[in-house]
Amino acid sequence: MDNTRLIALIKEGNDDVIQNIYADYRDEFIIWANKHHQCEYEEGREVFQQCMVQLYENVVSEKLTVLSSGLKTYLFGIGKNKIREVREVERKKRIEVKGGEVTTEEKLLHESILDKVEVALSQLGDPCKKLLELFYYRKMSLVQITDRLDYKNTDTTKNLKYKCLGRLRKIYTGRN
Amino acid sequence: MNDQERDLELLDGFLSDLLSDAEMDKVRTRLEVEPALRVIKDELLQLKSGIEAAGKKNLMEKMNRWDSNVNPLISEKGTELGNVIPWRAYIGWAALLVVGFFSIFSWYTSDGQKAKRLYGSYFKVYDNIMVPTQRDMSDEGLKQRAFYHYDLREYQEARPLFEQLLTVDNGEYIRFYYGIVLMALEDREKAESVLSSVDSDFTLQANWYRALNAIRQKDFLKAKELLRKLEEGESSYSNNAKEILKKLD
Repeated sequence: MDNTRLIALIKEGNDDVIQNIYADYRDEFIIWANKHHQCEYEEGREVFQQCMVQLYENVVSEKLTVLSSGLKTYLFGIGKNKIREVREVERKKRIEVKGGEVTTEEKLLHESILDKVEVALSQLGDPCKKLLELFYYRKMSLVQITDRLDYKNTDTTKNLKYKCLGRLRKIYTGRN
Repeated sequence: MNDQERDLELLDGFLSDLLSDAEMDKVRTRLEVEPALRVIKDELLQLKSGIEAAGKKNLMEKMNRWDSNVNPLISEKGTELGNVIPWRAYIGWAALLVVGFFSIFSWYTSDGQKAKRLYGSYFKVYDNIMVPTQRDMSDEGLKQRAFYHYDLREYQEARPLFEQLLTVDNGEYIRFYYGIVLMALEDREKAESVLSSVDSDFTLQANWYRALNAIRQKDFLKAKELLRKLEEGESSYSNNAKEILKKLD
């Protein structure tokens, strides 16, 4: 399959393609990360998953529309940067421990907001949860969502989207 | 749709830059005079980032399921990483390394290499802790856009935005982050000139980066002078400064 088709399928939200890419390159990446960056097995696996997420997000946000090099080169390139980031975070943590610094309040606040939204989403349940994820994370159009969730037309999907968002906000804030 | 849902639709379009210029202005005006609408806008931003984070988490969980259900892991195939790596090939390389060791050693300890090595070990872009950014900044101001590119490490894009920003806001932290952008782009002389003008809350940080910049320029005297000041203080830079000073002596 050529890269243009591959990108189009990822953008359509084709999980089989994403799974195939994951299965094709996971082991090779873990071995490469161990050989060149001394990553332990579990660390290599986690970094590779982050690479896949990055690949997916770059495709759906249209930051990546053409692969000038191969898919493997692209994925391993992301991996190299991710490993560097992991090392930097570790080094920073060591310095923070030595210096007695603590995690910033802003960071904690941000994390608690994300946790709270996650809880609200699970209370909201499907199909609203699915619809909002398809729109805001998977960046699908209303036409694609209508087709995927088998709604009547895009107007129905659009109305439902705002009803769901309103309901989520209500759960999240505890207000009407 | 009820009024609340209509407001959500309007704000969603506003935050995603999908409204016409006239509609955008109308929303901006409403936001200025309606505190309740501003609250909804902030909540919507939080919800969107929460939905994105949950989507990411779902994708990771899906991959974990693929690991356990579909495709056996290397470890489950009974193969340890150590066995996968071709150790025999390393013996040949090791011999080659021993032969070349002394020539590499002399090259490695030259001033230029020492500068590169030290700089590479300690230089890390300073985190943006001043201006929160999000994925879509198209409707935000100059400052947010500058820091958005900074967060993405897109320094070529960030540089002109910071330069423009400094013409309207000459704040200490903006100059500091601009200095870091210049360092990331390896414009070392300009970085020194900008960072040396930073004062107040960011002096320590600026001096740390100036020291690294001086090391990279092989100006070890200047680097030592800055590092000694950092070493004497009680900041988180103190230990690193001590380490580098030992290596420079």
